[in-house]
Amino acid sequence: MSAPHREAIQKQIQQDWANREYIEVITVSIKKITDFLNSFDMSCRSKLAVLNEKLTTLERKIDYLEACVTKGETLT
Amino acid sequence: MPLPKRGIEPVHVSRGTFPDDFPLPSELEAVTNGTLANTVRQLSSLSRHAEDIFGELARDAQQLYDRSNSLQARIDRLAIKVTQLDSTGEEVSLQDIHMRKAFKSAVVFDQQIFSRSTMPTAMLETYQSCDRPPPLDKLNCYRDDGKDGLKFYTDPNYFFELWRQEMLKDTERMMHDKGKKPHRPRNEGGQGGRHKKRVRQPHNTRERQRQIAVGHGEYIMPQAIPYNAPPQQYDDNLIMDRRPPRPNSIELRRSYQQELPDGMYEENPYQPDIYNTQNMQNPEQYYQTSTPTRGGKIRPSQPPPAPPSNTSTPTANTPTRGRSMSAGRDALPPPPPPPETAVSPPNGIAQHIISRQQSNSRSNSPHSHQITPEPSQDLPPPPPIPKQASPPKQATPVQAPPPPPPPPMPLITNGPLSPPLMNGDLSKIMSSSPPKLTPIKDRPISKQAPPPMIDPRNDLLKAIRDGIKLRKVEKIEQKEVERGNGLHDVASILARRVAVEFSDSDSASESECDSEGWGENETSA
Repeated sequence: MSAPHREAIQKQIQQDWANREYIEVITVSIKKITDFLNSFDMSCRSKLAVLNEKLTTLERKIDYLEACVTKGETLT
Repeated sequence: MPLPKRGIEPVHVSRGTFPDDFPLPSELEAVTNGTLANTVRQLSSLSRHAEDIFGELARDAQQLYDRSNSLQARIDRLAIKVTQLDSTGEEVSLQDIHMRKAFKSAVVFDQQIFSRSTMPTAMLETYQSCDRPPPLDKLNCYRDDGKDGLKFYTDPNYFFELWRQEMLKDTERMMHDKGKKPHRPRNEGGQGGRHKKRVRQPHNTRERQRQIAVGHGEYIMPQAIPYNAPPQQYDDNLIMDRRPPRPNSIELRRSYQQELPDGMYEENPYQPDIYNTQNMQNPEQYYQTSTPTRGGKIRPSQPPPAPPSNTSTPTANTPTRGRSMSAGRDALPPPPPPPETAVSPPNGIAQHIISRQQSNSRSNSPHSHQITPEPSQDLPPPPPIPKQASPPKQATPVQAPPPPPPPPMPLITNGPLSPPLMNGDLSKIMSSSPPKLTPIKDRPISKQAPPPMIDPRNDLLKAIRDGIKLRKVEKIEQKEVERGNGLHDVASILARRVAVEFSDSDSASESECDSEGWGENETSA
């Protein structure tokens, strides 16, 4: 009686450990995804910011050039 | 303190997954299943955030793409244009040069980056979950000063307002100094420097007083709208004050408009003298008095509580006007025994009168003339006075009667006593203003030895003036509002300030003086 009962409990516990490991894998994956998303977001934003900066300077330069080139016509 | 932008929802995955009240065949499995379910929830939350992240990135990228596209188009256009340029074949006509418009950059500066409107949606969700501030704004209807009750609890714009106020005041002062420069040389070349410094102080005190009054929730104007309105209005008022506010009578106004140029020139000389000779209190008192007059009708409601500094002054002020007007005329004929007292007197009223008179007098410059003519005019009118005293006036006088009586004496004395000096200016002012005024005012004054009489008439005058003034004030307010809207962003404020500073580079010394005044203001504020 005690032996089979013991086995059943052991089985349950082993099964539980397996489940826990499974959950652990999932959780770690979630963490990885989160890390990736964060780093991706950061890098994208920094690159976009650099791009934005360049675009702004370019726009100002173009503003200046247009103003230089325009003759009688009205500027807007 | 780092603020998490996004949070993934269920944090403790395994907690609370075991039902206590429900017998289970396998408890371990139950916990496992619960944990798994929570993990799936986490995943879904994560995917939502991921979608949000990608959405933001895509939006930004799209913006950049659009900008680069338009930029490319501009570059192409520019390239074509440049190829068409031919320095040898083209003649630049003078007309073309004149036709050119000044280059105006269309660059828009980012500002208010960390305001609520720019908060990312993820953070906004967190923010929404916060407790709302207590609805203190519901008590606004019980506030007399028209302030927003919620702002005493939380005011996200507080520091920006503080900064904006400072900047606007600073620029305003600089503009003021600049504007005064041209006038001074005309008046007196050598003394220009003195005038500048002295003239400025009153402005400071005015501003200070206003701010203090407003800060204490004092009730300057019953309507409260102008005062509560952004600080810019104050600055505007300072400028505007010079002309419109002082002349209370309708007729004076007319004269102003017509003779504006003359009045302007004369203003400067008088004002500095007044300020210098008289105590600093004058501007303040003048202030309070002048403001209430606009709102005129409000006074009755305001009894004494609101104006902590001088309750007596407001009441006295109104009467003073009438007196001042009358005083100018009266003063000339009667040789006042206590002239000296008038000059020194602590009474703010006399000063007010003087200042107003000055403003009134602007239009009429001739000093010598005014003195003699005034008495003649005044003398005849007295008989009709009784008629003028109308029932409505009498009703009003009851409120104001007590304080007014003493002040009239000094006024009278001032006018006659010293024509050459300060007093002389006053007398001039007096003389100039009274002739324009309707005979009614003058007559009552002469008869009105008793103070109460004066008050009712003043009220009438107020009513009349208010009617006219109200319109003007509204206009001013509109302008101010427009201005205020324009100056509500950092970029425009800074731009204006830079423009002002560059426009008068020679005002270094003045700016220093301003800075001194600044310190005072800040401390007081």
